[in-house]
Amino acid sequence: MIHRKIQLAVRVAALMCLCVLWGAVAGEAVTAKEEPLVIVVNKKNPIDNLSFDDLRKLCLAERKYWSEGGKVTIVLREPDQAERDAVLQQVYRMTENEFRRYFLQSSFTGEVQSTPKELTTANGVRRFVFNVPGAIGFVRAADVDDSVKVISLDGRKPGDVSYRLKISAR
Amino acid sequence: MDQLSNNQSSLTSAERFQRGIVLTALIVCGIGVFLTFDLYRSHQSGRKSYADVIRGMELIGQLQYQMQEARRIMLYALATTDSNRQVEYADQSRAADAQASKILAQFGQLMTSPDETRAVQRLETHWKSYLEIRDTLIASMLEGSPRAAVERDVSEGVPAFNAVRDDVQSVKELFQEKANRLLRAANSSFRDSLLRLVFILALTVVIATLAVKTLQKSSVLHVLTASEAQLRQSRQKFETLVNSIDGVVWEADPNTFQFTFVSRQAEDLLGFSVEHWMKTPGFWSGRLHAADRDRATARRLEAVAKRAPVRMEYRMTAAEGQEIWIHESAAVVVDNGIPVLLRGVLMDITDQKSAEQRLKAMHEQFLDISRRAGMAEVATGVLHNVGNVLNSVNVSALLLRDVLRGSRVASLARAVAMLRDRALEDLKHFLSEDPKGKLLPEYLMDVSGHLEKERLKLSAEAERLAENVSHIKDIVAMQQTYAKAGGLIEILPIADLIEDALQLNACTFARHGIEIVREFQSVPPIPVDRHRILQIFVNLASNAKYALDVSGRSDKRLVLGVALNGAEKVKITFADNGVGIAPENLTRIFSHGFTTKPEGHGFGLHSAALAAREMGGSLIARSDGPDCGATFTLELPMTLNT
Repeated sequence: MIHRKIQLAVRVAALMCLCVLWGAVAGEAVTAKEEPLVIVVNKKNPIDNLSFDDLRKLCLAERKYWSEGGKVTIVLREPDQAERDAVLQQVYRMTENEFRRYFLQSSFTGEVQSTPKELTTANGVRRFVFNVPGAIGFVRAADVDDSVKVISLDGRKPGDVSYRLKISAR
Repeated sequence: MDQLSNNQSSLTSAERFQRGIVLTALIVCGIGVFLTFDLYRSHQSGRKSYADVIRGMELIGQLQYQMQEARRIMLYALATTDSNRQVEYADQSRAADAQASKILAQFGQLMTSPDETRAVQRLETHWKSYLEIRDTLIASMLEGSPRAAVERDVSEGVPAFNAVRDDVQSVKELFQEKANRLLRAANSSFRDSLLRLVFILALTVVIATLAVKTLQKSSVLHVLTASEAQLRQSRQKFETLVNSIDGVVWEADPNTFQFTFVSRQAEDLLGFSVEHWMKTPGFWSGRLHAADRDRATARRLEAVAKRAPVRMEYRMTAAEGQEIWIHESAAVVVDNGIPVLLRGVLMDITDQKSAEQRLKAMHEQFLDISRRAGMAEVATGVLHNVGNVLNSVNVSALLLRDVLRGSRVASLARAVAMLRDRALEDLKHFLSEDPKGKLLPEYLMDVSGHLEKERLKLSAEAERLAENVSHIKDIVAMQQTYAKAGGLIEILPIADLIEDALQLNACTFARHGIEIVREFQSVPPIPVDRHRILQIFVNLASNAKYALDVSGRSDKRLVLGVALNGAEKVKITFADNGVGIAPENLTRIFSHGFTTKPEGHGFGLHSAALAAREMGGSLIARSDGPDCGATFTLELPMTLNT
């Protein structure tokens, strides 16, 4: 009986150790590969949180104005930039060509009046958001400063584990 | 006591004076500090205002530049559709705006008037409005609506920027006005400071004047009174001193010699009043003796020309006409190289001059007496020798008288009378028969023998008498020769002169057993006064005879020497081995009246020394002491000194 208890305790301990080791290895693997892609808006923008669906609508220009009336302006990085790729992949769920065709078509059909802005640098994205009250952009967490406001996505801040927008770590 | 009290009073006055000076100095220092502080404050105020204006103008310039820069960048941004360039322009514009805003914030510190404050506030308000419009323009531009952005810029941005520019211009004008105001204020401040300075200086002068007057009324007056008293005392001392001098202290014009001051003794000197001395033109030269006028005037002129002191003697004529001898000592007072005064002392030396003249007369008289004494000395020697000869003459005469008294001539006369009374027939009888007759021939033969002896004796005595008379004649003739030669310088052989002197004393030397030793070297004849040199030699010989006679020694000796002393002098020595001379007497043996002879009068050596000096020579005595003999050395020049 005692022997069995000992064996059970050993097994439980071994399992626990395995779990810990797995968790550590798995966690280490996630943080080492990805980092949060932060959503920034103008500081005058009262919004603090967006749902992922609202974010998709804003990005797809399905929703053109903020709730308080400001015009929405999407700011992205130029093609082949990791931030742009992450947004296209995780928010638009499009390739670059699909993205271009989408907005070309929307422009021709008049559904959108201005396509997302493309800026070369993360600083450009941040300064654009700073200057345009209705702008919303995507930058790495390291590129954020006080000139812009970081909003949550689905109620989760960029540092949270379940934050949905991620980008490959540099 | 009064003097002590005066001193204490002076001391207290001095202390008061010092305190007054210190108080005045403190007031002046306080005023100086106030003035310095006032000037410093004005300077600081002006400097701060100037700096503010300069700073404001500089800020306006910077503000205008930054605004124009912001505006320019915005126009650039509106001209492009590249979002990246637009973002860069936007940042640059905001940076310029930030600089402008910062400058605007600095204006607040420079505003000093309500107008300036309101102008700057208006500028800030318009600037904020422009910035808001600018933000919307940037947003529109970045959102991709450049047309809307341009339209809004034209409709709102440009008017807003013009308003800002007008505000800046207004502020600039305000600063310019402020600068002008500051300039006026600086001028006014300078004028005010100057007025304050003048006022304070005037106040200082008033205070100083009041202080001086107060001090004059109190302590300074005492000090000045004491100083005046001291000055008066000094002047009295000076006048007393001047008037107590046995002479006339005077001051005169260096050009005209007109007296400007003379002491009171002037009245006693010439019998004229002091006013007469000073007010009579040409008084000094006018009272000068005619014989001294040119010389004295020339000496004074020379002294003035050379700025040198002068000492001279001259005669002046007193009021009553008597001649006054004056000794003048004067000095030239020079100011900046120009003679301004002649100052000196006149001394009455009339008595001194009289004494000098009397002394000179006495000297001449003494010389004459000395000469006469020398002559007497010679005459004594002459008479002595003549007397000695006269003794022989007297002896010869007595002998002749005795011989003549005892002569047998009378017996011969009686025998002749006996023969005359007898007849010739009886003569034969008488001679052959008469007893007396028979003795008569033998008697006659005896008488003739006696007469022959008497004749021979009388003849010899007569011969001696004639010799003695001839000797006397020679002595008198030599004396006459020397007596006639007085004062005449002749070139004579010195040895012959010594021989003449020895001849005068020859009998004396012979009688006292004195050996004469001659050590004569060959010397050329020298210029001498025959009489004076004989006087010296006779004196020396006489003294030597006396010294040898008194010594009592048997080997009395007088060594006479003649030799050259160098190339220019002849040395004659009279060296005896007599009693000698005590050291204490050597120094005064040539003094007038000094003698060691009981019957001496002290003229001999003194006159001999004077005679030697008159001939340009010297006479000295040397002796090793009592009983050591003495040597008298006469040195005479070989050439006559002019």
